[in-house]
Amino acid sequence: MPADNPHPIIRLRGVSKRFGDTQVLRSLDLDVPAGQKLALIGPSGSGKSTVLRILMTLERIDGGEVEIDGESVWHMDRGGRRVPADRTHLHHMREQVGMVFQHFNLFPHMNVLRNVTEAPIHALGTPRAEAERQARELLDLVGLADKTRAWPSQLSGGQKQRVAIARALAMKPRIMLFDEVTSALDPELVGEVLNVLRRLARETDMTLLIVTHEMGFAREIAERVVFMEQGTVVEDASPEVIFSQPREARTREFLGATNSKLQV
Amino acid sequence: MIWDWRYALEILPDLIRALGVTVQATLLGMLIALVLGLVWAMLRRLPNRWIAGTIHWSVEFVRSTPLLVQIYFIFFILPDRGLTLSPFVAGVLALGLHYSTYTAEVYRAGIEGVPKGQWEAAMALNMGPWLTWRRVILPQAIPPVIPALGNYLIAMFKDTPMLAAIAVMELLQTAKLMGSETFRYLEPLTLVGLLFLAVSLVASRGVRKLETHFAGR
Repeated sequence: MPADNPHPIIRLRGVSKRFGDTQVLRSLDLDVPAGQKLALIGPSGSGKSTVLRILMTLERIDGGEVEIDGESVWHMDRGGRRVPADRTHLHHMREQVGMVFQHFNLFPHMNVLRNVTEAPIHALGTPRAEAERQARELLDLVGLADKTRAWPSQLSGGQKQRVAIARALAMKPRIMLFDEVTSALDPELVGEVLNVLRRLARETDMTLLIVTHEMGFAREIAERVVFMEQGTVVEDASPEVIFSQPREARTREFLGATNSKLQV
Repeated sequence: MIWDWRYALEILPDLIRALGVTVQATLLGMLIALVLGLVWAMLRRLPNRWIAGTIHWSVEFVRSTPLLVQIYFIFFILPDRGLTLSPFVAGVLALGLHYSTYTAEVYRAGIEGVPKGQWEAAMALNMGPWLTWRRVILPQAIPPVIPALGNYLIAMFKDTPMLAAIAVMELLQTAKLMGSETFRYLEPLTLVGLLFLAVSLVASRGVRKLETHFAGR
């Protein structure tokens, strides 16, 4: 990626999204430069997960524009005219993005190795031997090299989530989205998943968007923290500023409440 | 009328042969019902509401009209449209079509039982719709509903005597002919009942085995 890259890898402009009567995103603007490690924090219902789901094309938008690497996600150019994205275009956009979910969503009828190799083999056309070699490397990266033949039902939550991370990485995305990936875990299993994220943040040049309630973790690995509330960005700054001297009263309130909750 | 053992034993081989036709019609009909039902269930989930709605009401229509009417329709009316079928083929098609509307419902329940997160994970991995269906959704949706499908197999088996109405030489039709030749209906019809009972009992046991097998997973 050239240093003078004119456009951010992710650009949201005036994005709005409604679920029934609830306005989840209100004309949201957000630019993310390639390679940035960004944490999205905020109360539940603030729209932070929706941002990830929109980037993964799991949700459509009601208004605005979403671009990945300078290309519109939901529109494409056909003979100089702007038309709604077709299936091929969305497929092309998704190639650049991977996502890890709160509830893992592993395929329960496939063993660990097949969970990781399934999409590379069948969606990317990677030869099986090559896909399995890569899968073993990734499972080694997440500390599960010995679990290739295990079934998801035999794994702990933390192990499942690490398989899910390996599975997403196997598609070689440039952007990885982590949607509250530790929220469904028992407290003693959170650490092993955060360690994997730490490694990804330090050792890769992927762009990471991390929606999390783990404030200590966000502070530690994020280069930038975005605090959202009611579908808009309230404060967007470095972790030092957000966690030590937030400019916005709402940020202070939210972090204060989170801290006191942690102390209880 | 007194039960005549000799007559009963004499007609038994022919009835067993006719049972073969009945079983064949059931298996072929079920094959059609299994495939078509899955097609209906999948088409009903298309984002295109027009297609999904058309399928929904067509399935509803076929399910809500009698099987016998459909058998007559396929056998007597399709020839007017240039499609003449043998009684056996017409009967099997009618059975398959009719029961596909039931299997469609069974599949629907199985498909709805697959968590939404599985669809989302497949999309996040950029698996297309066909790949998602084939490798993620159906392998999870179908095993739990196999016992329910088995029950429809038995129900269909017991509906095959309707094919007698278009003179398919299945069990009931064969027994009827025997009766009209000898004026003894007691033995043929009793044997027909017993043969149905025997096959149904075995099949029910099989379905119960399937139920325990899939419940244990």
